[in-house]
Amino acid sequence: MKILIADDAAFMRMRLRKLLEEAGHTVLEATNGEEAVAMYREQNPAVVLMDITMPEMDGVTATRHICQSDPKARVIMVSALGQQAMIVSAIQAGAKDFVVKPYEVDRVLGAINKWAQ
Amino acid sequence: MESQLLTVKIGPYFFGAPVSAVTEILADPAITPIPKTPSSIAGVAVVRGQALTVLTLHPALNLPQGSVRMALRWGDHRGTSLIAVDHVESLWTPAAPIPPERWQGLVPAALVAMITNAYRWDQEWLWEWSEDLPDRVQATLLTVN
Amino acid sequence: MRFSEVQWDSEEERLLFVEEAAELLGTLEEGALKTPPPMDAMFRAAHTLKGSGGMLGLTQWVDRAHRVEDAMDRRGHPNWEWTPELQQFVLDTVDAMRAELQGQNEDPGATTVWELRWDSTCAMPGVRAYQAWTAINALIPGTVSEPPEDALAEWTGEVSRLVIPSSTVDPDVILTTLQSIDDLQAVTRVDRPLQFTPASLDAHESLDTEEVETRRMTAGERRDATIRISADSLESILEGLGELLLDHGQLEHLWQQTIDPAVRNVLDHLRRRALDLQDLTLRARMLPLDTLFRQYPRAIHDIARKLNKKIQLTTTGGETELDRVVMDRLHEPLLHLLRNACDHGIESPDQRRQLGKPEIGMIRLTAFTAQGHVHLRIEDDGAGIDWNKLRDKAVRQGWLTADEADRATEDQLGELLFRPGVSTADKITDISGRGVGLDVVRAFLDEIHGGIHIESQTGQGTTFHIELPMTMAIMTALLVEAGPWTLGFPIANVERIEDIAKSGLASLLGQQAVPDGQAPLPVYSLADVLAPEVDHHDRYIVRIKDGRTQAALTVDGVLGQQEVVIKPVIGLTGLTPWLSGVALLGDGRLALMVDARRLVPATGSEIEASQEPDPILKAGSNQMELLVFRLSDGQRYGINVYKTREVLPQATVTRVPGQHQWLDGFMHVRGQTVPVVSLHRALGLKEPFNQGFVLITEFNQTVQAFPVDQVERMVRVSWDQVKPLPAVLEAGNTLQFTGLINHEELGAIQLIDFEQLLAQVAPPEFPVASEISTEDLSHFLVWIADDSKVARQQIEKALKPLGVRFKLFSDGQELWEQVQVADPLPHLFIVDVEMPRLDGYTLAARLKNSARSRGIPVVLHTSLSGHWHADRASQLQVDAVITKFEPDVLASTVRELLSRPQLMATW
Repeated sequence: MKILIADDAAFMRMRLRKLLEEAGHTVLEATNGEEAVAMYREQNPAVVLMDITMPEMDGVTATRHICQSDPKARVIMVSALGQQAMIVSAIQAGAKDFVVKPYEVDRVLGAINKWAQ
Repeated sequence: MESQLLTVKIGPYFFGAPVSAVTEILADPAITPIPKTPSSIAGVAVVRGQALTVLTLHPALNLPQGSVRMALRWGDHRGTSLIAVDHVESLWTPAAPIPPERWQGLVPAALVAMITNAYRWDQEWLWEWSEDLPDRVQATLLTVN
Repeated sequence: MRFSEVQWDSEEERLLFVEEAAELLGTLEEGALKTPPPMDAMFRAAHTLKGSGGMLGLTQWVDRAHRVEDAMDRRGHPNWEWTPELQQFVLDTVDAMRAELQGQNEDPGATTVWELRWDSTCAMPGVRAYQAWTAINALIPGTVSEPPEDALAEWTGEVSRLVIPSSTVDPDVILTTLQSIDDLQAVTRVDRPLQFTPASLDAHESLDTEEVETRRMTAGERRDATIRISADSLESILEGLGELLLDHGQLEHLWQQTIDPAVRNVLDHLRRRALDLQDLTLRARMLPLDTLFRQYPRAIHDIARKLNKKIQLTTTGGETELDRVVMDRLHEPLLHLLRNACDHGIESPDQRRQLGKPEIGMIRLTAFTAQGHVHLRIEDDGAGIDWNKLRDKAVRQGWLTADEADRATEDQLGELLFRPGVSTADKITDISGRGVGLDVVRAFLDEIHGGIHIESQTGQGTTFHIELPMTMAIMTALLVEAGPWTLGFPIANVERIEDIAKSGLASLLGQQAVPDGQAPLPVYSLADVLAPEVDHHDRYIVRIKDGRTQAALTVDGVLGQQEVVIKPVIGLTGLTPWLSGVALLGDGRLALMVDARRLVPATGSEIEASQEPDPILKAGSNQMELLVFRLSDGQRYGINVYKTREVLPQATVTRVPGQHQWLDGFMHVRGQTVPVVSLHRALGLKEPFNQGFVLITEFNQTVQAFPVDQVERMVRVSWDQVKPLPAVLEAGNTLQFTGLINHEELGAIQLIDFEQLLAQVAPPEFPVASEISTEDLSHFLVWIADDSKVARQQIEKALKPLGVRFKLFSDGQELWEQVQVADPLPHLFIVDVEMPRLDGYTLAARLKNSARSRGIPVVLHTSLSGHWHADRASQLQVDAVITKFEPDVLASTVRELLSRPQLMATW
C-alpha cells in the first residue's frame, strides 16, 4: 500500500519508513502539514500517518483539510503522551485512529491494516 | 476529667489549662500593644503568619502586667488566641475537685466565670480553666482601661 | 432508579455529580430567566444533564431532561416560540431535578447502558472512549457517553459507559462495532439495577472550597481546567508566601549597607517573584460578584410571583471581583435589600399602569470599582421614599422637632432609616422582616469597614449605594510613626504629606487646622487620638481622604510606601473598629492599619453642602432620643439611642455558671462574643415570658447585650422632663435609674442607669497610687457633676491619688446655680453628659459662654461611645472628652489640665 508519513523530524520519518518498507508498503514523506495536504491530493495514499506537532500547519489542521476534501481518507495520528485532547480534536476532524510514541511496530502495522480495507 | 491539665503560674496563682485546648506554648512572644483596647488585651502577636490577640488575666487578678513571658496558644486554627502566663509548670492529671459551693462564693465573680474546677495541688490552690477560656475572657470585658 | 438510591464508589464521585448537575441546572435556570433565553447553552445543559443522569441509571431524571430538551428543540418546529409557559416549565423541571438531588423522589424510563473497560496500559483511554462513542453514535444517534463526550479529552480512567437509547439495532452489531476499537479489554451490558442505599446529602456546598477557574470556551472545544482547592490550603500558601517576603525583608535589613550588586539583583528578583506569586494567590481569593448575582434573578422571579407583581432584575458588573470572605457575608444583606425593593419599592402592575409606568418593575443591580472600593448599587424604579411622609413620621415619633424636620435634608432623613430599632418599631411584612433590618445591614457594613447610603426620588425610585473594601489582604500602604506605634494607611487614601513647618498649620481659635483651598481642614495628632498621654513629637502632616471623610493627621515620622500583607487580628472584632488589620514589616515590627473614617471625629466636610449641623445631633439642646422598650413587668423603660447599636429578634445565649448573678452568659453576634446581662434580675423582675428582643449596646467602649420583652419605639425627650427618683429609693442598693419621664403619649418611662448597672457587674480597675506623680495639687479645687452615685464615687476614687479637693454635685442644674454665686470658683469642671434637668452639653456650653467661668477648663466625662457624639463634642469648646470609665486617663488628664500655665498664674 501507498502510505504517507507526515513528521517534521527526519529521524522519525526514517524509522517509520524502515518499518513500513520492511512490511512491504510504499512510503511517501511530508515534512509539515501543508506538504502533507498537497501530497495527499497529488498521490492519494491509502493511509496517512500524521504527526501532531509540525511547523507551517499542524497535524490536526492538516487532517481536517484532508478529510474535508476526501471523506474516505484514512488518517492515523501519531502522537506523544499528554496530547489526548488534541487527538480527540483530530478524531473530530476526521482521523480514524492513533498510535502513541514510542510506538510498537505491531500496533502501527495493525492500525494500518485495520483501516486500510 | 479524663484529660490532663497543663499547670501554669500567673503571679502567685496557679491555673490548669485543659491540654486539649492548648495547641502551643510560646516563649517571649513579640507583642505589639494596641491602643484603645481593654486592659485584658495585651496586644497582637504574629505566630506563623497569623495575627492573634493576646489576652492577659493580670488585670483581672490585680497583678501588674510587666512583659509577657510566655503564652499559651489556645484553640485551633480559626478562632485562636494567646493567653499570657508567667511560667509553665507541668502536666497533671486532675483528681478530687473541690465542691463548687466551697469556693465559688470566695472567688471574684469575673474569675468564677472562667473556672470550671478547683483543686488542692501540692500545697497550692489550682484553678482549672474552662475550655472556651478566650470566649469567657472576652465576655467579661465590660470596662476599658 | 433515583438519585438517593445510587450506591457510589466514592464520595468524590457523588460530589462531582452533584456539583456538575447543580451547575448545569443553574445554567438552565439562569438562561430561562434571561431575555432572550440562550437556547443553545440551555439545550446543551439539558443534554449533558441527561447524559450524566443516564450514566447512573436515573431513569426519571433522564426522562425529565429529555422532555426539557425536546421542548427547547426548535429543529423541525417552524412555529416554535419561547413562551412564559415554557419558561415556567423549564424552571419547574429545574426545581424537580434539584428536589431529586435532595432526596425527594418519583418514577422510571428506557435506555441500555454499556460498560466499557479499557486496558490499564492504554495511554489515552479518553480518545478510545471517544472513538467508541463516535462509532456507536453513528449507529444509534442520541447515544450519550459517560464521561460526557466533551469531557473525554481530559479523561484518563479505566471504565467508561455508553447510554444507548433503545433502538432496533442488534446488540451484536453494537458489540462488534465496539470491539473494533483498540485497547478495549471488556464490554458489559449493564442490565441489573444497582443496589439501594439512601445517600445522605448535604445540599449546602457554599463558598467553603475555592475554585480556580479559567474562562469557559464555546462548545466543541475543550472543557475548562478547574481545580478545587480548599480555602485552608489557599490560606496556607498565602502565609507561606508572606513569610517568604518576610525572610526577604530580613535579608535586606541585615545586608543593607554591605550588599553586592549581584546579590542585590537576586534579592530583587526573589522579592518580585514572591510578590507575583502572592498576587496570583490573592487573586484566587477574589471571586467575581456574579457568584452572588447569579442566584438573584431566580429569587426575584419567585418573590415577584408571590407578590403578584411583575419585576425584572438586571445585573451589570458581575465580573467585578471581591474577596470571597466579604462576599460570603454580603449575601444576606444584599438579598434583604432586594426583597425590600420588591416589597416596598416596586408597585403592583395596576398601580404602575395608572402611574404611567411600564408594567414590569425594574431592579438594577450594578457593581463597579472606584477609588479603592467596590461599589454596589441597587436601583429600583418603584415608589421611592415619600420624604414628606417621613418627615411627618419623624415628628410624630418624636425623632425630630417640626422645625428640625423641615430643615433636614434628604440625606439626613435617609440616615433615620438606618437607626437601630426602626425596623422592629414598625410593622414589617413577612417578606422583608425576619430581623434583618436596615440597621443590621449598616452594622454589618460598619464591621467590614464599608458603608451604605440611600437616595430616592418620591414616586420615581430608590437607590441603595453600598461601598465595600476591595480587598482585605494586600495593598500598598503609607507607613508612619506616631508615639510608640507604627501605623499604616492605604496609599489610595493619602492625598498629601507635608512638613509641619511648611504646612500652614495654624490654630483656628483653639482647633489646629491647615488650609484646604479656602476652607480649614482640622488637624488631629494621631498619637493623641490613640492615647492622650503618650509621648510624641509631631513633624509631618498627612492628609487623608477616605470616601467622604477628609482629615489631616500629624505624625512623628513618615517611613514611606510599602507593599504589605494585611492580616485581620483574630479575636479582636468589634473592639477596635478603627483598626482594619495588622501588617508584618521586614524588620519584624507590626504596623497597625488604620481605617481613618473610624478614628477621626466627623468633620464638617462629611455633612454635605449645608454648614448647619445635623439637627438631630445639635449639642446643647438638652435633648436626647430614647429607645423605649418593655420588660416582663409590662412597664416601659428607656435607653439612649446613641448607645444602642442594634436590636436583634432573639438570642442564643451560652450560659456560663458561677459568674455574677446578673450575667446570663454570652452570645455571638457576627463573630463577636458579647456578654448578655439580665436587666430583669438586676431590677428584680420576673424572667421574660417569651423570646422577645435583644438590645445590643455600647458602653464604656465595649459591647453588651440586654434581653428585653418588647421594643416599642423611639421618642425625643428633653432632659428637663426627667425627674430624679424620690430620695427614699436611694437608700437601697437598687438605684438603677437615672430618672423618670412622664411622656404625654406613652406614660411613665423609667430611664435605666446602665453604667451603674454595669459597674456593679464588673467594677473598673483603678490606678495604683504610685503610678501618679507626687506633685502637690492639694490647693486645686475640682467640681464634679454626675447624677450617678456610683460614678461620683468612682471619680473620687480615681482622683484621690492626685490629692486635689472636690465638690460633688448630683446634677448639672445645681452646679450651674452654684457657679453664679460661688467664691472661690473651682479650677476645673468634670461633668457627666447625661444628667436630669440640665445635661452636660448644655452645661458646658453655658460654662464657656459665661464670663465668670469661661477660663476654667471643662472635662466632659461621658459613656457615649461611637463617633456620632464626637460631632457634638467638637461643636463645643470643652477642653477634654473622656470616656467612662478610665480612671487613669481621667487622673492624668486632670493633672495635665491643672498644670497649665494660665492656671498657675491666676491662682
